[in-house]
Amino acid sequence: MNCEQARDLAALAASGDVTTEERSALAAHNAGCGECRAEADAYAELCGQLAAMRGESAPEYVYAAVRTRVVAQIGERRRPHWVAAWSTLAAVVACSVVTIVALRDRAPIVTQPPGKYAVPATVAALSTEAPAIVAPSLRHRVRERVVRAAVQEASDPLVVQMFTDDPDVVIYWIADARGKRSERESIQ
Amino acid sequence: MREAGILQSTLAMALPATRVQSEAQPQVRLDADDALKLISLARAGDMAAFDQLMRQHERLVLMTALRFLGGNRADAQDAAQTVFLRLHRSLGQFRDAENAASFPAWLYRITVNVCHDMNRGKQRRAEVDLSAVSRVTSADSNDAEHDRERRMEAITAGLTQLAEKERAAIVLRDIEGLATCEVASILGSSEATVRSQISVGRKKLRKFAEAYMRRKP
Repeated sequence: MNCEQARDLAALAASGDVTTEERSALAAHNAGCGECRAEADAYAELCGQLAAMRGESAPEYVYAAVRTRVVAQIGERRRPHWVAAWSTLAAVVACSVVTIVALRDRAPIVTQPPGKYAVPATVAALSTEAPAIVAPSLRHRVRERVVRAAVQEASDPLVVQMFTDDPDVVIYWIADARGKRSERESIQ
Repeated sequence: MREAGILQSTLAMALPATRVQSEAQPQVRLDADDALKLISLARAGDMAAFDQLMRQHERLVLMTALRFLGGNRADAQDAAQTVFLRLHRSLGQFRDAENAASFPAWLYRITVNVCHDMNRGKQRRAEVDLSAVSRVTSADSNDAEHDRERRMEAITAGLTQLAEKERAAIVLRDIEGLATCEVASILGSSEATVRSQISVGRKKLRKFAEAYMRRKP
């Protein structure tokens, strides 16, 4: 065994990672070579110093912080199952409510003889039954739909009859075939 | 006690964000049966058992990550968090359920993989300010203690200069004290490869330490 081989082996021999034969050969070489023996001692010292680091640890608060974060993350991971379930349920309920409300408020177009125009039931219902629960925006929307539908169906002037809270007051809305209002309102 | 102080100051210097205690944390020691029960309970969703499992292995994970990640405590904590979350998610995949002894090796493997991912993400190559390190020494230490203190500084700093595979082999074999075959299994390499990495790593470490020691304190 030459010095180069001995020094290569010395790095491993310090932790016993050599075969019995290699250890014997290295010992025989080192017995007659001071430099290689010093090299082997240096590696042994290095391994001892590395092993001394084995007992080191961090303060408890460092570990506690990690544990806290892990437990919190696991909790967050578990929560989405509930959140997802409730979200789905809430979405289904919301969709159902919206659909029911939309269907209930939808105004059927009543077929009228030529020259007369459909007045949706909703508009008629504004008169007396429950005026307070119908939002102004809804009234406006319903009214616009009626006008558009009427314009599409006929080329004659459009007449929309609207009932108010007062049974003695009826509003007539008259427009030409292009949707232009020809007469604002007439109160009967 | 004196040595403990030196060790603490050495690591406090080389790992600036880390206060290292001289004595190991009182880890919960459990026999194999208890460990198996803990693993089974944790796998079934028992958080108390999982917490106990974490306490039992937290030093292993955190200190290994700390050395893999160049001594940055915040990164090591992030890595440990990822390791335990990954452990919690994949406890069901722990196949050697009847062999609790293989659990630490499995945990080491997860830790190594997590640290590898973090290193790859950051392209970390730690640079240690050696002049800054050498400034902090105990004023009342005698020559021998001072020399030892500086040597520990040199080793700690030198570890950060090794290639990732070499550092992994040195940390697991020399610091964590695992057998070469266990290191090979954890790193997914052959024993011959690991021996080569250990040999090269020790040579580099020794060279670095000698260069470090030649510097003026």
